[in-house]
Amino acid sequence: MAFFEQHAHPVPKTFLGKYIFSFDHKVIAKQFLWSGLFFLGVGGIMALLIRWTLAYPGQSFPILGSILFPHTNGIVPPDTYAMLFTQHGTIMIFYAITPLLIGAFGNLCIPLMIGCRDMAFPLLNMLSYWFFFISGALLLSALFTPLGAAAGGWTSYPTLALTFGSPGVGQTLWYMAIFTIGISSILGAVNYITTIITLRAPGMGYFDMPLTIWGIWMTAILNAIFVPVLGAGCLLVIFDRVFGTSFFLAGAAATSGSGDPILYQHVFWIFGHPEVYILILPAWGIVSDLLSFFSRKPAFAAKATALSMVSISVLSILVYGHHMFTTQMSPLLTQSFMTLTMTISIPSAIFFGNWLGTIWKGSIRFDTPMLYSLGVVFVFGLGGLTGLYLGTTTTDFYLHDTYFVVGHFHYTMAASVLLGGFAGIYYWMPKMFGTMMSEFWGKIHFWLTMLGINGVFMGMLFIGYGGMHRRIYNPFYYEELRRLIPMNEFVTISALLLGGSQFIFLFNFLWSVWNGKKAVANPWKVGTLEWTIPSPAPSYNFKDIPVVKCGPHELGNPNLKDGKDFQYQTEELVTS
Amino acid sequence: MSGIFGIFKFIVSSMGVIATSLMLSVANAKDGTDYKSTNYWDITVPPEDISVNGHLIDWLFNYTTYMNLFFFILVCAGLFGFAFIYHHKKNKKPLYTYGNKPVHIWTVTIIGVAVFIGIDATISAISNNDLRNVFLNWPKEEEKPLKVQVMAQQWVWKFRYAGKDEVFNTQDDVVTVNDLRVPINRKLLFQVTSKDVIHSFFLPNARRKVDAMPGRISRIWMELNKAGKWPIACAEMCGTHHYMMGAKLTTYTPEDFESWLGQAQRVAMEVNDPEDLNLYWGWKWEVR
Amino acid sequence: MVAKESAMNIDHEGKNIANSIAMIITLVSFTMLFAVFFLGYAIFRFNAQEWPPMGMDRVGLGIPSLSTLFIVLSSITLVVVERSIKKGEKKVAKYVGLLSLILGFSFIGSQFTLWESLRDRGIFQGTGIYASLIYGFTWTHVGHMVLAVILKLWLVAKVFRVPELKELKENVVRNISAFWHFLGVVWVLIYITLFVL
Repeated sequence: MAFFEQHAHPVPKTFLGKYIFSFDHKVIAKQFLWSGLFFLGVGGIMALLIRWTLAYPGQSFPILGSILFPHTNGIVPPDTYAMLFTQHGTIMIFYAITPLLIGAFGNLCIPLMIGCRDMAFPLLNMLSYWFFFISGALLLSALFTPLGAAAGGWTSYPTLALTFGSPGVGQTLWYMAIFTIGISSILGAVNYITTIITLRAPGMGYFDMPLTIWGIWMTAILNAIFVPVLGAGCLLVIFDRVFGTSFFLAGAAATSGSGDPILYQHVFWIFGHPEVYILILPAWGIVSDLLSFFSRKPAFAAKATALSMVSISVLSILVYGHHMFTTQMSPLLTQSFMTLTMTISIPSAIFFGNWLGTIWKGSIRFDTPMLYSLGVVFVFGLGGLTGLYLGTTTTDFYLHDTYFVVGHFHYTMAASVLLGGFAGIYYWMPKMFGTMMSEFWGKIHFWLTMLGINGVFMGMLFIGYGGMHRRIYNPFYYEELRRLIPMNEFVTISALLLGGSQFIFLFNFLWSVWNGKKAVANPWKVGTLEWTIPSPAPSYNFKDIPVVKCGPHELGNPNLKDGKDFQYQTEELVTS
Repeated sequence: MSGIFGIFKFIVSSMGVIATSLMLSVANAKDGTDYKSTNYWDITVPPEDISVNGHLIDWLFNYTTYMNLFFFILVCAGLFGFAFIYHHKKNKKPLYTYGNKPVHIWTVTIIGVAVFIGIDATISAISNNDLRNVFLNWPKEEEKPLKVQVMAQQWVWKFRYAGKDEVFNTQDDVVTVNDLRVPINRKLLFQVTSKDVIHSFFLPNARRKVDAMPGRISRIWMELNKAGKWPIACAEMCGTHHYMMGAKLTTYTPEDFESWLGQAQRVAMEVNDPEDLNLYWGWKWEVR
Repeated sequence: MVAKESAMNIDHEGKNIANSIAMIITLVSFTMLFAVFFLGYAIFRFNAQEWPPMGMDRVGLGIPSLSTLFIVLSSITLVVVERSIKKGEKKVAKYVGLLSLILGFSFIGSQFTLWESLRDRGIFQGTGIYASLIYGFTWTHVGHMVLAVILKLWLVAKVFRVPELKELKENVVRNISAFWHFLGVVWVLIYITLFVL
């Protein structure tokens, strides 16, 4: 079905051409992977600084504290604390999850799984990475400005985010960084969508694509439509900050005419709600595929899963108002958003039915990628259900802006996406780097991470329900919150465990990249197209463009002979 | 695969170690409060509900929790159960099905519909009802609600009561900083705004909050039924000292409130300086 | 796909389709960006008791109408250029292309004149929401126009330099003109909603 055949591009000779300014989607995927892991570390350290401050206020953060905060004896000061939670949110969402799940897996998996030699627009692909790089540089540079980086929460609501609320250039740099990463996302989205539409191998209909590709495709479509909305919002605030317009200015500072700060919230969440689906869709796709592969049977109702992804993408725009229940929108709007938010849980319920149906009566192998996929089912089930409390307006009146919300979105966004990302890294390591990661250390990493995740975010659910509101530097200021101190401590200890166990992953990963056991072409015995080529994938991907003759989940067919329990997508479906 | 379960057992026992050390740390709680809890679960319930309608929110929360637990336990039964029963050593031949036969479709559909009706539809109907009949059912003039204007600013709460002239923003208004005093068993109607950035007027013991936004006036009504001292917090990031933007809510019996208000009004007449423009941060009470 | 044609033609056809799809997605993205501006404007306008608010006078239609004229003519001339490139009429492509480019520059120039005339009347970007909308909208549009003018400059220069018009890739020409016409449509919408209505 490919609209055209790409020529294998010439192998670059220089170091710059091979590793820095490469057109090869696999190299760009690795660039995104390394960058994403770097920012994941930075964001993680910020999280630990936050947790330390919440559990042990007035105590110096060990080792790093005296280096980072010499003027306060290693204790995190309140304005820096505000900067920390702002940057933690921004970095994790835009600079860790986006490059890892969308940049790295999108770039790696799309051409390999649909059977073509590279993305439709390799130059655009390279530009997408470099815009991301520039954006990261802009964001980090703000940390070194005299008044510090943005400190108004990752959502950066005006009027706090306007000049009088956030003086200094840090907040403006934040908006510029977000605008730039928006350009990177849109360039990537154009590439992904066009590649998937026009370069699928002959014989590969849309429902013959692996569900990973469906997830990434829906992500790209949402990116193309809704990231510009955020871009427009950023432009408007930049105009307000730098040129003195009054789009969002109100209150005492609006001396020459006033705008509407709530308009920003509408614009932001029109982007913001689809954004959370953008972040989770690749992980949903990966999990749907891996559950099938490691149960050695086809994905249960794969078509329904794909269509649920489409319907969730369509519905995602209609529910954004549930982030704004406390801003007193009209009763009609409030009630409509609540009802629509309830309907969006139907496709998610279908996912669960299909995931459980996939492992039902399977022959399950518990390799590390499978453990992570099962982990995603657990944490997303938990996280998704906690969303119901926030979707009903009356309970949201109590829970909005408390730690309950923090626990909810970390379960759904951080835990699920990260576990899905780890599943992908362990799974595609052979194809990316030609080596296998250690199964033993992978399993230890998995259990410690699960323990840490559940400790931290379940604890947050309880703290939030107990009444602790968010983004506060010292909860002990309120006498009534002092009873939550032990729980806060528990959360911090779990967070330290979670952070510490990521070093196991880091060592496993770095060791495997350079010294790992050499991988065979198809170590997982799976039939999707990327496993028909050697490990690591050669620069031209496919010597001959494959012709697809069956679906991606052909496992466990009783008609298969010779001890095989799967068939490649290039083989005719065995019927007898 | 005993390897994994061996590791799992190890992890579970270390959980036990962590949990035990936590119990000990509760006994040695830091930061000077002699807080000792005999019941660890005590610390995980919401603060005392002192409002007439807060129980609606608590009830809905609990109902959602029971329904969630039910379905989540089902999911876990499937997840852990299938993982155990269909381990490849126990089940060598997987079932080759695409999951698109009528029986499969019906099973998933029925489960989906059950989830939707059992949880989603029910809780949104209940919440909708509560919104319409209670929370957005503003007190009428005949019910003589106590009207208070709330001005949020970085980083204090200011409260204004109309004085004896029952008109806001006049010289006889009672104006307090971080100190809200209200009677119980009487409807309270607040109009809330902000001077600078967005704040949020949060009363945990009444289970309610509403954002205080510059350039707009939002409103909230409630009725409280227990006397005492309670916290008010700001629940929207508003700057460096957002964490210190707390205020005190004091609920009085109607008689105590009348005596406090009378005294406060007398003091206001003496203390309020009509020349001081800063006194007039209030606004004409919005009638909607 | 048509199997009878030669592989080269299929590839060429296929690459064109891929380019068109990519251009459509790009235009969807740009549409969403401008849509937010229109959304914000609609909300401000419908919630205001009077428009323009704060007793300001409406901005005169003179310069905006001139801008509209420039940009519409530049789009029409660009269509002529496209057609002549397809037919291989080099002279037409060269001189009408030059005219289209000049009209594009004139549009940008007229925007600067608009801003200057506003400033002369004491309407700066901080003078309330009406002014903010005008400046914000037109700045964003001009920012995109600058990009479009650079692309058009490249195209016209190529038309002048290339020996045979056939060497110009058809999808490049189509994409640049699609972007140009898109910005023209956006301007007409701005003109109608912000200045006329």
